Amino acid sequence: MTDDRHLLLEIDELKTHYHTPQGIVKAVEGASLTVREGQAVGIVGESGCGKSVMLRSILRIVPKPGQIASGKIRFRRKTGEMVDLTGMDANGRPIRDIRGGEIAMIFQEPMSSLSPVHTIGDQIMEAIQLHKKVPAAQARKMAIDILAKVAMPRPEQIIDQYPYEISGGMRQRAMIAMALSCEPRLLIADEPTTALDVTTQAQILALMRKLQAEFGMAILFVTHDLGVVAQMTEYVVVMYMGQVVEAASVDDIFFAPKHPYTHALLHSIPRLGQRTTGQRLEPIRGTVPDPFARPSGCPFHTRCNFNDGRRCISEVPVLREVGPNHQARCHYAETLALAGVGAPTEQVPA
Amino acid sequence: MLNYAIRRSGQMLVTVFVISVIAFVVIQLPPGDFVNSYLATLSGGNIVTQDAIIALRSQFGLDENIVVQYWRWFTNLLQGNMGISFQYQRTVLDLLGERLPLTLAITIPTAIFVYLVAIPIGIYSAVRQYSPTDYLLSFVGFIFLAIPNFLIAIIAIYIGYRYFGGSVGGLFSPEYELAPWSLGKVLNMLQNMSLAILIIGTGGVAATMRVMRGMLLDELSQAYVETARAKGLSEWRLIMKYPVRVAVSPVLSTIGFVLPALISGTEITATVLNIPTTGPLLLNAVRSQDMFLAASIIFVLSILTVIGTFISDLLLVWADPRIKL
Repeated sequence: MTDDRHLLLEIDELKTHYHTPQGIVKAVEGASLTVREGQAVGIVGESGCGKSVMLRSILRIVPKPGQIASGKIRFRRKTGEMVDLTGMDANGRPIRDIRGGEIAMIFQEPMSSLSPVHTIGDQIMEAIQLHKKVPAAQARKMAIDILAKVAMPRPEQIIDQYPYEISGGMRQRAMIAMALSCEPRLLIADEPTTALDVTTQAQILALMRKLQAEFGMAILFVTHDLGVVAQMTEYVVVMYMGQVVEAASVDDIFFAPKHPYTHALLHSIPRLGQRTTGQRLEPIRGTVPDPFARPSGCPFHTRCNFNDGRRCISEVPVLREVGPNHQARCHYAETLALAGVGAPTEQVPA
Repeated sequence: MLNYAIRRSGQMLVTVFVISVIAFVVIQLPPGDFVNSYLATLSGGNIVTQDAIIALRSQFGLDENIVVQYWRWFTNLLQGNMGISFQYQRTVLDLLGERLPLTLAITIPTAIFVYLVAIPIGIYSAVRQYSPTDYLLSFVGFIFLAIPNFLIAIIAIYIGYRYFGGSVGGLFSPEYELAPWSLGKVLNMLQNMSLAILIIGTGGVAATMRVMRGMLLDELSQAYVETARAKGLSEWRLIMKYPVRVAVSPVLSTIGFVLPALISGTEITATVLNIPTTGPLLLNAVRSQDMFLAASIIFVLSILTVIGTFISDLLLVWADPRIKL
């Protein structure tokens, strides 16, 4: 199965490290993935697996003392030119044109991600005027338009309100409006619905799907909610301890996982009807290892049910093709015959 | 906003009235009165009869009930008459009229100096946390925070005298002291005043800069800063627009205290520097139980505090819309 869409983003063996007084934390340790134009890619993993740091590496906004140690992040600009984002000055003109203008980001906490002392309109118009040379009056009009597009009620009034005056769901809509205001070609969403209640979450997800189709942009969707992944994405990347351990289409990930970690993740979430069939929830045993003391060999061997005690402990597996458009980082990916889970049938209407 | 200002003004009147009571009572609290301390200063040879003491008391109106005394003082105050200083034998208004303009001429520039210097330094220190410059600024800041201003004044006087052969302190250098007003004299006064401002302001700069640094450090790691960064704003522009705007609120709220602190908190420094502000006057008045003078100065300072707080409240409302009017 080949994809003929243009490559939009290609992360190649990215390593982002934090130099702390206690030692080096390898937050991202050789992660690779690709996003094609208009593609919705999900990134899944436990807290601390390096998802967020990887996203921030793309925009070059990794908080100190984090640093990109090696690797390449290639991005196709509007002009069609392929640029390496890791080579750019983090506060320089080119990356700032891309930030917000071509790659926009939505954050997890709609409560704290908007400035409490500036109006919604001020913050959206700022983004517009930063990337499009338009006078203030026109920027205001564009801001109202984009607020209307994200189904914000009464956009003409909301624009002059402060974030504390509106609800969490509306704040996240404002956040999305801000991100979309400059028509980015890649939208990075870092757990955009984690902080919202379930009904609001469903609304926001539906909105994002609709807008993705409308704007034709690619989405890099980070979450630890597999249900959200099933609804929102076509391709899934599973991360563990700063590495991509499996990458496949959403169907392959759910029906035919090849990596024990993906398998364990899938079986650790509750499903309807599980109790009547006598199945129990299987948590992943152990905890994520101390980032200062990465396990030898395969980083997952300390928690893996299929640890062979020899090769898994001594030899670092590489990410390799294990099927059509399916990659996994496990020595035994082909031979384990891991069981998938039932189809995540529930779909949010677009 | 206007409504708020009017409502606050009403509250301010009540506050000022309460303060006037407290100021008057506090001055009365120490045992004895002006006549006692006046007699104590007389040389031992004089014999003062009991009759003379009673006569003095009634002359100054000290023999009456404290409520009556207060009421007379307060009603006079409302008519702009602050009473008479026993010690100087002049009206309090006269004395204050001499000192207050100079006090304000030193205090207000000092306050401006404090904020203009401390806020940028605090911002720089926070943004470049743990850089050599931050360490240096913090180190110097702590030193100035620890050294009392009057000690700095003494050191400045010493250095000025020892190495520059000039006199530090006073409003004028000796050669201008008695000279008629001229351009040279004005320049000389400004020069001496700027030194006083520098010395009086150091403590405030050191403290405010620490507050600004601490507040900004809290804000710099907030999510909304990252949002602004992800928008493509340049680093300094986003820092000035977002976290600084939030972090400056607590600094603004200190303006109310800075005004009176600069006026009354600097008696010792002003005494050392020999600058005729209200500070030394108040110190003296309290020591000699010159009650109308002392109460009036405290009253005026309190009004300045109330005004300062009012200004800082208005600034806070401007800086942070979450503060409800």
